Amino acid sequence: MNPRIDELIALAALGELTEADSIELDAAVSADPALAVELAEALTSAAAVQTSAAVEPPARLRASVLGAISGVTQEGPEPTSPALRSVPGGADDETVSVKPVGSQRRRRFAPLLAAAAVLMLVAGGVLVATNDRDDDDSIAAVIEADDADSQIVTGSIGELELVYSADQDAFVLVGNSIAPAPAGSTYQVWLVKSGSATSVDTFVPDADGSITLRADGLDPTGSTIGITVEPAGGSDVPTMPLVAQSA
Amino acid sequence: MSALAVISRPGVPAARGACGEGLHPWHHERIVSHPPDLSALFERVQRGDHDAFAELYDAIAAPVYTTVQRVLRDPAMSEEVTQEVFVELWTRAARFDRSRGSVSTWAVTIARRRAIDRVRSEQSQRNRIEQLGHRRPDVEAATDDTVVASLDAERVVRAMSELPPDQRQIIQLAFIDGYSHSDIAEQLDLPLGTVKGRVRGGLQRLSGKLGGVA
Repeated sequence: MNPRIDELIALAALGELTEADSIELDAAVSADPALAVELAEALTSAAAVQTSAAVEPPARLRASVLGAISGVTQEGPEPTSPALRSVPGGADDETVSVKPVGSQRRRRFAPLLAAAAVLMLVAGGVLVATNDRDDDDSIAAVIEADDADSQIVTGSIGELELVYSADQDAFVLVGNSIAPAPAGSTYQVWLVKSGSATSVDTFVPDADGSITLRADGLDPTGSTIGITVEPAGGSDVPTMPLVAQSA
Repeated sequence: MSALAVISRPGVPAARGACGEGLHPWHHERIVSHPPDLSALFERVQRGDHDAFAELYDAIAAPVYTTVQRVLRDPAMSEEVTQEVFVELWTRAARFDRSRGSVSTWAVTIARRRAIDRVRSEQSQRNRIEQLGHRRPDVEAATDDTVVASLDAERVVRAMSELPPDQRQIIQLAFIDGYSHSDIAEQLDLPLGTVKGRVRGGLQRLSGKLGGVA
């Protein structure tokens, strides 16, 4: 067998495929049914070993999990429906203050930070996709800032957290397990204030549903943060409804 | 000192299996020869049935949580990641591909990936060393009531015992002790490619002994 395929199957079983690896393996498996069997057997054997002496989780986790999925929309196999476009704007312009939550809140971001395979850095409105350590640090700089304030942005696509630092003159948006954007679409982040919506950036979660985004020169204090589904490339005005907004 | 250097310390549970002896750390699990067929249940989950999802949770919470905990050690973090796994199972139910194994295999694969992602991002090597002395506490201290077997554990133990020692060691470190392949390579001073090759070879042999896709 192709050594590269063997390597990819091993990484799949180990849970260590990169996104690029995953795409490569999917393509190979799609082209060769025998490979699909090989992969299934490897995953099954790995699962058998990992679960051969399984322990029950604490009973409280059940209610937590079932609560976590209530209200969470399932994605379709091939999401195609474009968002219903409607009048832009001021429907969600109520003022929301940014609440300081202290250092324990910031600590929660540590796993999110490094989990993001690709960091999206916004500088002066220019979107740069990168996974450089420097940019990881640029996200951390905001989250770890002494004056960092945080708020939740939540909705049907999942829960994100926004951290703003006046010292850094920037905010970051971090999310895990965010539902994928429908095919051909992107999420777009808006600052809504006094009936006026300002586009912050567009993003598409990675394969793990992770998203990390930094916006410079924008102060979200007193604004509602809204996220909409827009056609790929983004829109000039938001298309209702909001799929997530600041609480 | 690397975190994994500690693995070879005498007396640490991980070292037993890794050395090829004592691959029977669990004598107390109930053996379930035939894992339940979750296909019909999962079809209901795919249609958005919350009750079915609750049943699915009951069926696979233990293997998912165990997989996560093998990697993460920390119980609280393991609970958190287990919840993330189930949320993903719910939101991406439509993406389940039966050609890649059973529902439980898919769930365990997701659990492993999410746990590895978390350990990479959250736990420093230092933390892992600190926690090594408390590894798998629930498994080690488990009673008959708390341990369940999602697959035929005896068959797994027997199949592993028949692996070549170099493959058995790697399979043990990766899937029972929950280490990434780079951690293993560092500890054993092996090239990454060798570790991946032994994982692949070991899993191929196990597939032959365990009878393929469940």
